[in-house]
Amino acid sequence: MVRSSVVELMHKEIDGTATQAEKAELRRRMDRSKEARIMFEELRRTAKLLHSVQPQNPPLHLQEDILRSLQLLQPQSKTIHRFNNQKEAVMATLQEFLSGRKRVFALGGIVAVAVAIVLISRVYPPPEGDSAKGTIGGAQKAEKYRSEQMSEKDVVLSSTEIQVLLQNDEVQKLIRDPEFQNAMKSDAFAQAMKSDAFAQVMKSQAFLQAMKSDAFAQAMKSDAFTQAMKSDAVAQAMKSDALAQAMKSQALVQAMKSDALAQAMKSDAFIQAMKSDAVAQAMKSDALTQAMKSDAFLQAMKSDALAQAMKSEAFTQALKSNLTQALKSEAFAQAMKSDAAVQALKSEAFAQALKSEAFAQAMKSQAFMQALKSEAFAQAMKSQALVQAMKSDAFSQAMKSDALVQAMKSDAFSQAMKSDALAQAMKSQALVQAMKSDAFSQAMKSDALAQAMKSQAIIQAMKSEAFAQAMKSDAFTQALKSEAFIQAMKSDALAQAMKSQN
Amino acid sequence: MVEQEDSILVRQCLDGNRAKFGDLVKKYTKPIYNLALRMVGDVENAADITQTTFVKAYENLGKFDLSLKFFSWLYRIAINESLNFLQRQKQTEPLDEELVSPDQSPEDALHETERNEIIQHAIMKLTPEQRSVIVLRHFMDLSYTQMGATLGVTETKVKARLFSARQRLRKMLLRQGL
Repeated sequence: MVRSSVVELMHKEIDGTATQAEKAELRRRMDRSKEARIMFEELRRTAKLLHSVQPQNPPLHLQEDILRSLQLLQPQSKTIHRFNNQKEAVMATLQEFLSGRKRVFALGGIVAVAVAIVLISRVYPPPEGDSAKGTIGGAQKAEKYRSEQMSEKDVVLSSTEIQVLLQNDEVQKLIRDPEFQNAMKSDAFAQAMKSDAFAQVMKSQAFLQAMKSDAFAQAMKSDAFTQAMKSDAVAQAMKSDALAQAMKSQALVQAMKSDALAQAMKSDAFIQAMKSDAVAQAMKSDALTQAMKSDAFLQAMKSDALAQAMKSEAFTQALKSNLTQALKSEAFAQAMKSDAAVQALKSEAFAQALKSEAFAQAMKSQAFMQALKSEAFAQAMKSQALVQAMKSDAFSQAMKSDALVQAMKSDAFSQAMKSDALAQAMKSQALVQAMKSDAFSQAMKSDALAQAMKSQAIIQAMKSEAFAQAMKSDAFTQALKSEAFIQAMKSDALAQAMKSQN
Repeated sequence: MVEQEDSILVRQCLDGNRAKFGDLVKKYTKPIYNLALRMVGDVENAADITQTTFVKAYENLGKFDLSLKFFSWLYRIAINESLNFLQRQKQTEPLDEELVSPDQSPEDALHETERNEIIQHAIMKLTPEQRSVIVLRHFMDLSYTQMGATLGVTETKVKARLFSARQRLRKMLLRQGL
């Protein structure tokens, strides 16, 4: 039974209000009592869990509703009334268009209206004063818009910001582009546009900024974008709150402006990936949203290496697989926040690895996913040593081997990756050096090692402090590089021996 | 700094520039909504409580003691509105002991959305008083003193409620494999 005075000290420590003397007292008490240590860890974990719950965004119109109920928005203004009528008229027109009842008017106009509608209805507050007219073809009533054709010249918006946006050369080019128009005509896009989450996306300054960039405009004109917009998976993803949140981040805007992403979006592989349910599901996850907001993600998305990797068939396959589960994990989100992960993702080695069938296969495995979710892996990803190792040809070669893939799929690997000892070992310069050697690469490719990795004995060994220490030593490095080691690792005898130790 | 900005806006409102209250609405809509959401556990009612909170604050701004912190006062209104709602809905009875199906593995429960649901469910099992302190401490990041001012109770009482609430949560979350 832990004394109540000690429990109180635990709570104070968790809340950050314990004095130095109280901290010392708590440490003393916990040194003496295992029960107290367990209780403290449980309480700390409870607090951590509570803090891990992210704040939710209020419903879209809540703020507006509150202001209106307080009469701080003055809805009785004539200008506002007219503006609302026009908004309703345009909305009615768009609904007809989306429902397929009205497809006769100029496509450019439709797109402009679509953009304008989203901007009017979701982005900009009703104009204040008579200087902001908000007229669309001078029309006042919804009925008129239901019965008349609309063309691009009818769209005369008074909000300066809307006009500036619509007058932007790139936006003009974009809305006249047949491919973009095709994308806008798709049912998937129509569905997506109706969702609140998509409205949030369009509302974000980030999206507006992105729309003005050459790279984004180019990307939106691509076949890939058109195809992607037509897919149900993308429509689902665009409806998700997680994506809407992510779209608001400056990191994602910057990423969307990058040539590298534009290039990637034009590739067939990217289209295929975007069409998969797995990607749609992943894009809905909070963890991926967090990752997408990180600088690491931005930097990674801007890199040519990742763009190239995203174009590969192997990457597409990987995205369609269990990798999406890994992308949803908190460990991935945490890893993406680290400089090491940025460096790793930007590296040629990682890009090359991503392109390899072996790596794609490995990423599909439950073991790899578990490993990716582990704190140890996240920690390891942050180390400069691992980044260096991942950039080496040896690592790249090793990742392509079937034997390593098999090993990575094993429970042993999964368990080992979760251990702090291995994470520490992976950070060591000695292991980096070893991983760069051909000998290591050869050893990693051997069936014997793959078999050995599947044994419980090696799991235990890899988790041990002794292993971590050994991996850090120069002697071990040298040994790993030796011909003798390669030969030994390839031998069945060693594999058997490694399996038998317990 | 934040508190100073709030008090300037409140003063401007009281001096006749009522539109300045809009700035306070914009600033606090999200925190108040999240406070209400954690207290009542559903989105629609949280939105209603948020709206009522601001309307009451606006109507009673003249009674606000300028020596106090505006956010404490606003949070207090939101907490009271949430408690009133819970009483009206008679939702204060303990929920089922089992928050998730017993055959669910801890690994399944670790999925983020499910995990958040389990946490919210556990919070809803606390008494309204315990829930208030958990929400103010862990979701609003208030200190013991600020919590005391918001709830109108002593710091000692705040601590006692918070510690026992956290103990209960610990046991409930452990049972769910978290």
